[in-house]
Amino acid sequence: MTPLDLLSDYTLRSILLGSALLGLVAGTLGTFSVLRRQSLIGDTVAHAALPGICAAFLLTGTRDTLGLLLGGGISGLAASLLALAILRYSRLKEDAALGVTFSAFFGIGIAMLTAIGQSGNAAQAGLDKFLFGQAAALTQGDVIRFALLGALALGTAALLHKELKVTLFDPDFARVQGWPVPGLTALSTALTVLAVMIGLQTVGVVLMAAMLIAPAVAARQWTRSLSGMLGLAGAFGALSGALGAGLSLGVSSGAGSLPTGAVTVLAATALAVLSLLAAPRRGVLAELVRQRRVRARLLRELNSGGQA
Amino acid sequence: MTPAPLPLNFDLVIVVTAVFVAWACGLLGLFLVLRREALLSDAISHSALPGIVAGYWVTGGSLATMPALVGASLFGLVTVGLTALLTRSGRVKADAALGLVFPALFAAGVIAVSLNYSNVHLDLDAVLYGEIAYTPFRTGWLGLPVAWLLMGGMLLVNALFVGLLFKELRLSTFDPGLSRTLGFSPALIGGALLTLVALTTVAAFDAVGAVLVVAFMIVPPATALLLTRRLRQALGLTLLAGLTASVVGYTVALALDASITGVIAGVLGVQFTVALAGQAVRARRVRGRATLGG
Repeated sequence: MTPLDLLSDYTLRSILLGSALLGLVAGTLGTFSVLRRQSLIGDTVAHAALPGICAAFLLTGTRDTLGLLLGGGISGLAASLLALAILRYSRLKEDAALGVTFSAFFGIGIAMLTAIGQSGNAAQAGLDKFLFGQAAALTQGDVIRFALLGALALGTAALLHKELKVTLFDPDFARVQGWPVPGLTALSTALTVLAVMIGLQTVGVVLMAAMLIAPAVAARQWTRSLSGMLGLAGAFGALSGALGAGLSLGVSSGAGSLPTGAVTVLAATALAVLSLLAAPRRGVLAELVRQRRVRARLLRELNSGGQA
Repeated sequence: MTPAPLPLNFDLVIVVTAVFVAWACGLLGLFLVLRREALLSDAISHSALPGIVAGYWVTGGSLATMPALVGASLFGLVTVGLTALLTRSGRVKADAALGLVFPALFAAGVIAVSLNYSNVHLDLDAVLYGEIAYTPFRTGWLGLPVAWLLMGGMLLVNALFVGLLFKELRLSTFDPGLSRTLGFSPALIGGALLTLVALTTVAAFDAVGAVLVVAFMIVPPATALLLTRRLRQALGLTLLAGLTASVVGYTVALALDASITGVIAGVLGVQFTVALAGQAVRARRVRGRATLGG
């Protein structure tokens, strides 16, 4: 397979475009949750989608993707709002609030999944694909849907950029301005839920968490402004998605196949590690160089001071 | 002559296994939640996958329990170490560091499975869900269930750890600075705690699956901390919540013919929700009285 095939082949192009779009949306929106110290909200939402997916299946009796994603989105949103409520009404911290909601929702989802399995319905076989993701199944229709949902999520974030920014960095000021702070927080969480729903089918539950976090961590290394970070995180996410899809499709002609989701996540992680090490101002290497320079100057001054 | 298996009732084996896991996890989980490290249990349960694959590879493709446990525990410690390294670099907050490490390790595990064992039944579902219903069929020493030996042992170790080092644990959790001044190393105690968490997580998901381990580690302690501010009472409430959820969850799961671990996790969630609602009502009443009195 040549790189040209990737661009001309209808199926391959869908997979490549879909993965890049997912990375773009997840990377951009993940910036908010990473800055809010709720990085793992993606993990919560992705796990908590399971009971909703099962409920949607029980109600409709089909594996229609849109219905399942809608069900998953509703239960994911319910879980994340519950986590926000726990934070507001108790002394428990982010990690406990997220952990409680996702393990309870996921547990109920597993119970529903086994109950559906025992009912012997043939169509249930595909439900667990949502847990592990399957980029190879992406169609052009999926890509169009991703693009529409992604545009909706990113457009909302862009329209409310100022409000979201102030709510994030200075909630007290936002409150004084008379803005609905809990509402704005819930809205940015809802956008994250949307991003997770877009990615669930492609990279699966566990790996979706990484697509929100890794691009944002990488972007933070290169910029000090929120808009710069949002843009860079989106770009890093899209790059990881494209790399993941390209690599997995390029290699899978061999004995085994490389799962797209896992390769995408490793690509995003590699970008983050590289940025942590090599970014100009905040990078580990830059820090070492700086320390060495300071030490040399100090030594020089001590020496010349001794002579004077 | 092999000893005849003890005439143990299936229900008893399963419920006692669940309670062992609940208590072994809850004892450590309370301190994890207090230290804001609750999600480490989730992270470890996922990043253990490459360790399980490595154990499988080293033994030349047999699903032996011991090598898998050793490999998984090692990767649990790798997770803890890498997360600490990233956090200490000061460039990433603790939650993002964790979220960077465990999906990457899990992804590496998924790739290793699909490259080498795509035609072998190395079941991801079995690793993640576990199946407590099979515990009565696996018996070991004295004809006792393997899950009892493993989790009973883990419970004993954890109980000794928390019992003997209660004062030190409490101090290093609430006031690491003072603890250091008094000559206890909070880093050492924290390290020991996280090592036990890694071992317990891995040992437990052989018996009951990752879902329930994480649920037992986080939810009962969180519920207890809603109800009391005293550490000893919280410890007692954690154990009580784990016990009742195991018994009620098992009964309900039998009635519904659904996953036992899933239903127990659900019951834990219900317990938490009731406690949260109770606390909210009480807070409102106190506030109401304060305004009336004022």
